[in-house]
Amino acid sequence: MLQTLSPIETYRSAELALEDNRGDQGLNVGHYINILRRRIFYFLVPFGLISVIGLCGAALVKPTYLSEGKILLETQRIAPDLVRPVVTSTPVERVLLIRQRLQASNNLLSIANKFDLYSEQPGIKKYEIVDLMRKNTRLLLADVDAQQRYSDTSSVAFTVGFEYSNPEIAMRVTNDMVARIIDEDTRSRTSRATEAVGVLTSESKSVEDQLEGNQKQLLEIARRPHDSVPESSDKERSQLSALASLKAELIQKMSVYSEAHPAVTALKKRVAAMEKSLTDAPRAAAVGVNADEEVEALKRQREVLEKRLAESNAKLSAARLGERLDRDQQSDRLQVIEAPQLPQLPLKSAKIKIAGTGFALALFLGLGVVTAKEMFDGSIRNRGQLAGLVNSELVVLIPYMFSRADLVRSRLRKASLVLTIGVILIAWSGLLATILLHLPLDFLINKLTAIFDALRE
Amino acid sequence: MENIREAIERAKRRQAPQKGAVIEPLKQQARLFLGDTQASPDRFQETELDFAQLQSQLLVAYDATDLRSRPFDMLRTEVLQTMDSNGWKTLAVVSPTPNCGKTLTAINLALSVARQRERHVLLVDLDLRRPKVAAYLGLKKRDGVIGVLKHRLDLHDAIVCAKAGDSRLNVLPTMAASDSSDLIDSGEMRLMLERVLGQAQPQVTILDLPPLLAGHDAISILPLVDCVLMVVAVGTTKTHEIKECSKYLEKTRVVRFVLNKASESMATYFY
Repeated sequence: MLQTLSPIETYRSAELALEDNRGDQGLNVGHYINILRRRIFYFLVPFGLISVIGLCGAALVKPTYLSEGKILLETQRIAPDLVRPVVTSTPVERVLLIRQRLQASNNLLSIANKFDLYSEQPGIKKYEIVDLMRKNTRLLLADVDAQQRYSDTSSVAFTVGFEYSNPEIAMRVTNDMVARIIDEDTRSRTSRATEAVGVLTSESKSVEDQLEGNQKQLLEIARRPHDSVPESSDKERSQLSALASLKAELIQKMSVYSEAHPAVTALKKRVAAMEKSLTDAPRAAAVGVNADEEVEALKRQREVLEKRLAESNAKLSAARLGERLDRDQQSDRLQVIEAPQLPQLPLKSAKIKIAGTGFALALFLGLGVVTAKEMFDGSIRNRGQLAGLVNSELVVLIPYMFSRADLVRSRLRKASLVLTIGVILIAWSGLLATILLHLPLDFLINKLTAIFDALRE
Repeated sequence: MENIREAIERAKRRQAPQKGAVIEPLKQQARLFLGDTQASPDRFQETELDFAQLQSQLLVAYDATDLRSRPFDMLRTEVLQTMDSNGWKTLAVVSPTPNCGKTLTAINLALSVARQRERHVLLVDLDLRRPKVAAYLGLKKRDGVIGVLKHRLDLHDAIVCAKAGDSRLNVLPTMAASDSSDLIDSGEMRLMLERVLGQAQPQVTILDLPPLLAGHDAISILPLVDCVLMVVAVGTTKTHEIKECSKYLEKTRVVRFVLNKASESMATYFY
């Protein structure tokens, strides 16, 4: 600090104290307002420029139209206990599945080809088309009621939408998507029901065939003449009974196992061996004893088969009923509750976003320029800034004396300020009118350039 | 003083036989340079200042009714009180850089002091590179300080008494010189200043110096004055410039800091 002098007790000391106190509180806000007033042009020019550019961008952006349709997914009306439905996933899962299927690449590509979408962009690649379509396709769940989230059995609605620059094409594409969704769902559901029926039918058929074979065997045995049973030795009889029980076991096993089963083949071998050893014995007796045992075995086999047939038939009838339910549209179904309409007005969101970004950027840039200028300026603005450098009691303020040139300059500055603000406001209002009234700005620009060219010639 | 004495001794030694013929011209030269001590300082060449010219240059302190002269009156009061209590007679007005309003402040302050009849004020323009005092006051071009330093002019003849309203202000203007730094450092300058500042009259001498950071001219003069008035301007002076000046002003006595071109909201109350 510079050399200090003994302070003079003049009336100024009190004023000094007053001013410092005032300065502490008031100067901060007043300081910044002062800065803004001095540097108003440094703020207005970047702010005006960038905001106008932003509004131009918003006006020039190509309008897109969104066409939306609403589909309702109702759970089946007949209680699932009576008729088991074929499809058993939750409605939300079904909607997700539908979205996956809709947004599959080949599906989107076929839609794009059908309506010749994005053809105005030359050389656009297939994956770019798919990406664009994915971005512009919306499939979202709509809240039917608030409880829907917690219960899986109520209805679920979802919207299908497509955004495109041409409103008519947007509507047609959305209609096509809705139709595809409905068809696909019907087709997949029907094929599943029919498959089940087919499998169960063939199963029943095979069981019926087996039953028929069993029946034939029984009849054959019954037709054979019943010869008298000659006396035979005890040993022979026991051997015969063993052979008969083996044969019965074999028959039983064959009704369950196939021919190639080791148990079956082993049994067969034993039966053959036993038969060989009993060739001396009267065949009729063995046959007679065998016949009784065989009949028993066959009867048991028939019981098993009949039971199987009954089960299979039950399943088949359930599947047939499920199929009928689908056909008659009594199960879960998709229903279009709002068909996609022709959009009248383009989406505002893109324009608002661009305009908003433009304004925010303009504000930041304007303030940034002012801040930068202030920082680089670095000159003294008030007595507070002298406080650290000099003894503040020695500071005397002499106000700015305005000369005529100053007055002229200040009038000029005021005039330019009014002019600048006026220009900015006119530009804003013009562009806002263009945006809100959806005037085609690029069309106007083309027309203006055509006029200029005509005038130049 | 030393240089003259030496010169005289040398001349005496060299031309001893022609004593009378040599000393007279030397004496005359000395008289020319140092001025006639018997002449009363009141008999300076007088001129009236043009009010329109003064107003256009924002020189307002000659008029007590002008509100704009109030701050200068307050400055005058404070400065004179300090100077009187310490017995100081000379005040140098400096600023870090040009365009601070230093010359304007110096002239206005001088005009304000000059309104008090009992005080004699001498305003000296020592900015030998860009002298502006004469131009602001509307005085005719004069040799002034340069003329005195180069022995073309008598000090007494170089001073002008400017009258404006109630103020009677003695002004020693100057014209521009290319070798200003040499002149400033020269012994002639020292002699002249001693002559000027050594008046027995109740005189306040205000020196308008060039900017501190623009050259070393001001720094050479500072040790010769009693006190310094530092002028800085809002929007022109930067903080680092003040810091740079502080090291030059450490050895001097700063009577006040003037914050010039302050905005209205910071000005004092008018009663």
